Formats: sequence, structure tokens, C-alpha cells
Amino acid sequence: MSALPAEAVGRPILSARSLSHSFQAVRVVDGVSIDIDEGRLYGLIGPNGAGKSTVMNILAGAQKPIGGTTHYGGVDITRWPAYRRARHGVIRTFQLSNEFARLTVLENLLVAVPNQPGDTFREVFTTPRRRWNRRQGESLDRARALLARFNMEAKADDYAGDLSGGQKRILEILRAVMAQPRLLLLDEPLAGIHPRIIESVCDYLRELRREGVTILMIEHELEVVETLCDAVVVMASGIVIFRGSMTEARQRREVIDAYVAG
Amino acid sequence: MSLILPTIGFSLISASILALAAVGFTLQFGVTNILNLAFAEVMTSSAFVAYWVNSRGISIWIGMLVAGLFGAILSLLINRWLYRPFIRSGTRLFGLIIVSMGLALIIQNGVLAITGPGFFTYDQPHGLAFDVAGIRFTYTELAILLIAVVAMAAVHLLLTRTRLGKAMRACSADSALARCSGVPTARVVDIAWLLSGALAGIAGVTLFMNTTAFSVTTSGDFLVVIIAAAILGGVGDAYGAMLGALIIGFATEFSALFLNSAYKTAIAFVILVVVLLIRPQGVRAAFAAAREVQT
Amino acid sequence: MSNATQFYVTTLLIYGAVSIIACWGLDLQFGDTGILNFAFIMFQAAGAYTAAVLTLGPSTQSNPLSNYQHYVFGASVPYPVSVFAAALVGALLSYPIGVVALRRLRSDYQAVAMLVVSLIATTVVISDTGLLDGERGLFLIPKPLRDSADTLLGYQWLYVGISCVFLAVVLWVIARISRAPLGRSLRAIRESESAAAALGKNVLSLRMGAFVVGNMIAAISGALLVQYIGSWSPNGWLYPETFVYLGAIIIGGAANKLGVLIGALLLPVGISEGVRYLPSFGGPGFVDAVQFMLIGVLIIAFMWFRPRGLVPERRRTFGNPRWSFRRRTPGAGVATAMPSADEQGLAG
Repeated sequence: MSALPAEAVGRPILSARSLSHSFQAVRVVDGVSIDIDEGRLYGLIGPNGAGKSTVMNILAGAQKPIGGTTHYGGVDITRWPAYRRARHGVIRTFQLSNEFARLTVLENLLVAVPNQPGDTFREVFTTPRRRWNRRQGESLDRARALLARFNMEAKADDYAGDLSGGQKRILEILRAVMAQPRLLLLDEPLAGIHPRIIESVCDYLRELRREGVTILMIEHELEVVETLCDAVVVMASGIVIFRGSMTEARQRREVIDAYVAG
Repeated sequence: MSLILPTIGFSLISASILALAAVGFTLQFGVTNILNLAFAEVMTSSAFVAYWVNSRGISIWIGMLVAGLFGAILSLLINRWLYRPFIRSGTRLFGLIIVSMGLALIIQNGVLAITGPGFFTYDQPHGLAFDVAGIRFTYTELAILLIAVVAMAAVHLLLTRTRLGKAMRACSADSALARCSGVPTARVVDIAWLLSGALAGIAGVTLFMNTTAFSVTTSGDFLVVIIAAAILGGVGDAYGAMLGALIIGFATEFSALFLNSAYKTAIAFVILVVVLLIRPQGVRAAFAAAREVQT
Repeated sequence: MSNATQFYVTTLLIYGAVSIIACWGLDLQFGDTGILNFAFIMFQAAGAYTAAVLTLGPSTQSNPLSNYQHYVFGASVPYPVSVFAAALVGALLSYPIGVVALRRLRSDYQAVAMLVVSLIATTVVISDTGLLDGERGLFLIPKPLRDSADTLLGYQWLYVGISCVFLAVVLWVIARISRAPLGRSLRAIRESESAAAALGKNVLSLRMGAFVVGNMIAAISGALLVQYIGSWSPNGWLYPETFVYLGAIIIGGAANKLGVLIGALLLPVGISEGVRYLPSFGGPGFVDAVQFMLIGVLIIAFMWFRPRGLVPERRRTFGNPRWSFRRRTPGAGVATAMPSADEQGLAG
């Protein structure tokens, strides 16, 4: 990942138009439009039940919207399944830790590496093991460096299911990073992480942004959002009620109302 | 065609037996979410308990009651002593299917070890026949029909008129939500197992009464037909299961008019596969959703 | 060894090889990928029937073998072609069933759908007597390469050799898959389909691949078995037989090749051979029933006491002594900064 050229920052990378989704006749997402520019860090905030996670699921391709379109890098990806979006750099994390419990921490990270030779049934029998291993060696170095950064190198060979809740959250972020994201969708990445570690995770997210990764994160802690995010999208009751800076959002009547009512 | 009327008769009998079993299966599956592969074995073992009672010279109707009781208690114990500990120790959906598979092997072969592979018949009233609307029913068939109707009515009253029944429906719809609303889930789960076991026992006896001679394997493939009816009706939906039983009862019996009768059960299987593919939420899902919004 | 002992030992070796091959195939689906394939035995049967009809000769009056039995697509293909054809049929059969069952069903419904497929197959084969001779089954299936050995015992050893060749090939295939990055992806899918998809894994296609390869291995085991025992009928592949293989994997240790090998020798072969030495008691079928009961009890007991089996899945580490040394140091790193309540479970 190299830093984006200055002129690329701010170019639209993802634009969703009037996304809708309903659950048992209730519109949980009702005509949501979101524009995301390259190289920026966005917060998606709003009270519980606002439909934030559903929007993230739709953007990641995990849920199919009943209406609306999504364009990514100028291409209509509305009908793309989750794995195809991921292969083109749209990588998401989950609200509830979704680690591969009976894989080790290192394996969790290695699974994420894109275009790893020997990762399809055809390549297993057509490419020599040397080729898989060479690439895997490079990935291992990266994975270990990432773990070291969060003081988790001692856990490298532990089963991911045996990590503490906070470590699972960090693993989830690191795994997403190993997948070489262009657009990172983080669903409450800081929930359950110990306050002392939060700052280093935030630093890391800023660093990712500098390297050119665009980030959209759902976050409840508004203080964090304020210091971290370039812009916020506020949702309430399935619609977007505000787009702009966090400072501005704090002064908006409808935003305050939504939080009080929610 | 002269075959139509008798076929309707056969269909009604098949549907009655299937409805008893499918409603029992769906109530338990809906509430607990455990795919109990040992359900047919509860039927078989209960029916053999009825045989044991019957062979002591006691009326088969008493035997059926005993079978219902036996099935209920067996099911309750299966849940208490097997599934519940496994769930508590963190076994997931996948593991529970394996456990139920092991249980099915144990019960089926346990019964086989006791009874042997031979064929048996109940000592039941014969010969009498009645004409109902131009369809000829034997005394036994008419009784099966009646038992099914009474049982279905009882289930209906239980689900709509009692707090427990309502709680059961709530658990079936969304157990987490039901727990939040103060429904005592553990008790509801117990009752679901009891009820499903009782219906399994009665269904087992009626199934065996309706065959000329039964053995341990008689209800072997029946489980899949039950699952077909339950899924066709939408898992957890007792009325759906009744409807599913009717559809499958008629489809299998009428298919025998056109196809080799050996394919009768295969028709049920094909229906199941098609339903799983195009409408895994069941035929009545639209009604169910609408009903939830209204209440 | 006396001839009788040799004969017995070779027979056991062949049965053992067939059982191991089948269990490895099923384990690729169940242990590695997390597919509950209740139709597995049907794929073994498909391989067996394929190998049988392709060696019984054309189904015409002039062929003495076809005078007493009815079957379709009769031919006399040379040996290993019959086995390859069996594998091919196993693969071809997997596609439509996989598309139906693996596509979008919940895992319990998948299991039901597989069970149904197995039952339909049994019903069709039994009902349509012209297809594969119905309930009676096929018999007098020629033994391959029979002329290569002078004595019956020599042939036994020859077939042991043939079985071992297939065993080695299958081991090579599954070990290569398991060690490759692909194996890691399959195990990731087993742990969480949604997370695997979110990382760019085409879950459907990978599961389909494991399904097809596993079923091809099943078909090979069927072909190997049928050409040895010479007969095949629906009674040999009723759906509970799949439970036996699954039980073998659970007892041995899912996703561990050695564990599955041990399970495959203990359960299908060991138990049925073991009860042979018991004095015969009970009525007809009693011993069989007790055998299946025992399997059920073992499955539940292992699920409770030792859910990972006799030889649990190996933890895959990446050789670097520095790291394994550091791993032993307790309390290093993030963990110390965590509230102590978070620490539970770290010991595993």
C-alpha cells in the first residue's frame, strides 16, 4: 500500500443511491444515499436501531437491498456478491467478532491474503508448493509485523477463539488489513477494546488513511468520532439526517433530537 | 373414475397420520430449533410399547394412550438428559444434529435388538366398514381420522386459548424476543418436548395400525415425509404442518394412480426438495407475516 | 501365517483401505469444510454401480453375466478405467446435488436435503428393477487383473497392493489440499462462512469443490470395494451407513488425517470384525442391532467427552522457534492491559 497521490484524495470511490431494506414489513433502511471520497475517514453514527449495520451489510454485499444502487469506482456493483466486492478491495469487519475460532491467529491473518497461489482447487494441483510458500512467507512477515504492533506476537500460534474479546476485535481489524482493502468498512471496531488500546487503534486507522485506505466506520463513542473522522453521516430511523463535520453535527437540532428520541 | 373416491379416502388417512407426527415435529423444532433426527424412533418405540400393552390383551386404544404417555416422557427425558446438557456445554446446531443422529441409531437398534426383525400386528377390531360420502372406511381408518381431528383441535385450543400455547407460539417466532418479554422459555421448551413426544407416540400407533404388518423399519423413511410436511408448512407453524400433511397425503396417494406405487414416498421427498429450494420458509409464510403485523 | 490367516488378514486390509479412503473423502467435506453430507454413502454406491456395470459386459443375451440380472450401460472396460469412470460419475452426480443443497440452505436443511437425496436414490434403484437390478443388486462382478495372480491367495495380496496404491493417491490428494492455502480457506469457511466471504472467498464454489472431490473419493472407494467383493445391492448402502462413516470421523478426530484413519479402522472394520468373535447370541439381526447401537453410543460419548476425537485436529504453526519460545512467556503484550475478566480461555 503506498500513499495516494495528492490529487487522488477526494475523488469519489463509492456512491450509494436510495438504498432500502425492510425486515418483516418494517423499513429499516429507507432511501439512504451515501457518497464516500477516496482517502478519507468517515464515521457512520446514529442511535441504536437507526439501520447503520444494515447499510454496512448492504455496502459489503452481505445483504441484498430491496431498492437502490451502489457504485464503486464508477462501476455498478449493486448485484455483486460479498466475495466479489471483497476481491475488489471492499473489506468489512463485523459488529460481533467473527473470527475463525479453530484457526490460529496467524492463520486468521493469512486466510485474508488476496491472490494467494494455491488457494483454489485448480491451483493446488497445477502450481508447485514452492510458489505457494514463497508468497506465504512474505505474508507471514507482514502478519507478524502487524501483530507485533499491537503486542500480540505472543498469541500468533494460539487459536483465535481463545483470545480475549478485545484481542478478537483487534485481530478482526488486522485481518481486514491483510486483505489489502481500498475501502474499509468497520462495524464498531473499538467496541470491547480496552481504553488504553483504543488510542493506538485510532492511530493505526489514521495511518491507514495516510496510506490511502478509505474508511467508513460505525462508532458509538462520539468523542472518538470527533477526533478521528473527517466527516460523519448521521442516520436515524432508517434515513440519513445529516452529512458533514462532527462539530457541525453536534449543533444540528435534528441530530440532537434523534439521539434524545433514540 | 372409480379410483378417485377410494384414493381420497387413502389420502385422508395418510394425511391424518402425517399431521399428527408433523405437528408434533414442527412444535418441537420451532420452539427448540433442534433438528431431532430421532423423532421417528420415538414414534417406533412408543408404538412398540403400545404393542406390548396390546399383547397383554388390553385394548389397542388404551395402548395408544400409553404410547402417547411413553412418547411424551421419552422426549422430555431426551431433552433433559441429552440435548440440554449438550446445548449448555456449547454444542452448536451442527453438533446437535450429530448427537440426534447417534440417538436415532441407539433407539432404532435398541428396539430392533428387543423385538427382532420380524413383523407384528396389533390386535385391533376388524371387518367393520362404513360409507362416508361415498368413500368406504374401515373402523380403524375412521378412528384414525377421528383421533387426528380431535388431536388437531386440541392443539388448536392449546395454542390459541391458553397462555402456555401463546408462549409457545412466541418462542417459535423468536425465542430471544420471547425471553425478553418474560416468557418462561425453559418451561415452554419442556412442554414442547412433551407435546411433540405425545403426538409422536399417537402417530406411531396410528401408522402401525394402518399397515398390515409392521416392523422396526416401518417408520424408517417416514421421518423425511414428516420433515417434508413440517417444512412445507413452515417450521414452527402447527397449522402449516397440518396443511403440509394434507398436501403431501394427497400428493403421495394420488401419484400412486399414475406412477409405480413404490415411488409414493419419493414424491414426498421431491416435494421437500422443491420446497427447500424455492420456499424454505414454507407455504404459509405470507400468512404468518401478515398475522404478526396484525396482532 | 497359515493360508487361512493370510486370507483373513488380506481381506481385513482391503476392507480397511476402502474404509480409510471413504472416511478421508468424507472428512474433506465434514472435518475440513464443515459440510454435513448425509448422502455420502450414495456416492460410494454410485462409484460401485459404475464400476460394476462397466465390467459386467454389455447387457445382451450373449453375455452370460447379464442373463440373470438387468442393468444399463453394460460394458467391459479394462482395469483402472472402471475406477476412473466411477470417480467421474461421482463428480458428475455431485454437481446437480451440490447446486441444490449447498446453495442457500441453512446447514440443518442441507443435512435434510442430503438425507432426502440418499433416500430418493435408494427408492429409485429398488423400484426400477431394470436400472441396476433393483433390490437383488448386481453380482458376479468380475475381479480385475484376476489372471495376473496364480493362486487365490496371490490375488488377495495383489488386491491389497492395488488398494494401497489408491490409498496413497487419495492421501496425496487430500494432504495436498489440506496443506495448501486452500485447506486454510476451507477451514475458514467451516468456522465462519460470512467472514470468509467478507475476505473474498467464493464460499459456494469452494464448498462445491470440497463436495465434488470428497464424493469422487467416495466413488473410488465404492469401485475398489465392489470389484473385490463382486456384488452390490441397495441393502449395502442404506443411509445409516453414512452415519457409520461420520461416527468413525468423530471418534478418530475430524480434520486430522491420522485420527480419521484410526477411526476408519476402529468403527466400520473393527466393530464388525470384533463382534464376529463374540459367541452368537440373541435372535437374527441382534448382533447387527447391538453393533449400530454401540456406534450411536460411541458417537454421543465422544461428542460429550472428547468432541475433537482420539487424535484432535493439529494446530497449524509456522516454524519459527523464537515465536514458540515467546508463546510460553505468560502475561506478555496486550493481555496484561486487559481487564482480568477478559483473560479467561487464554489457557487453551
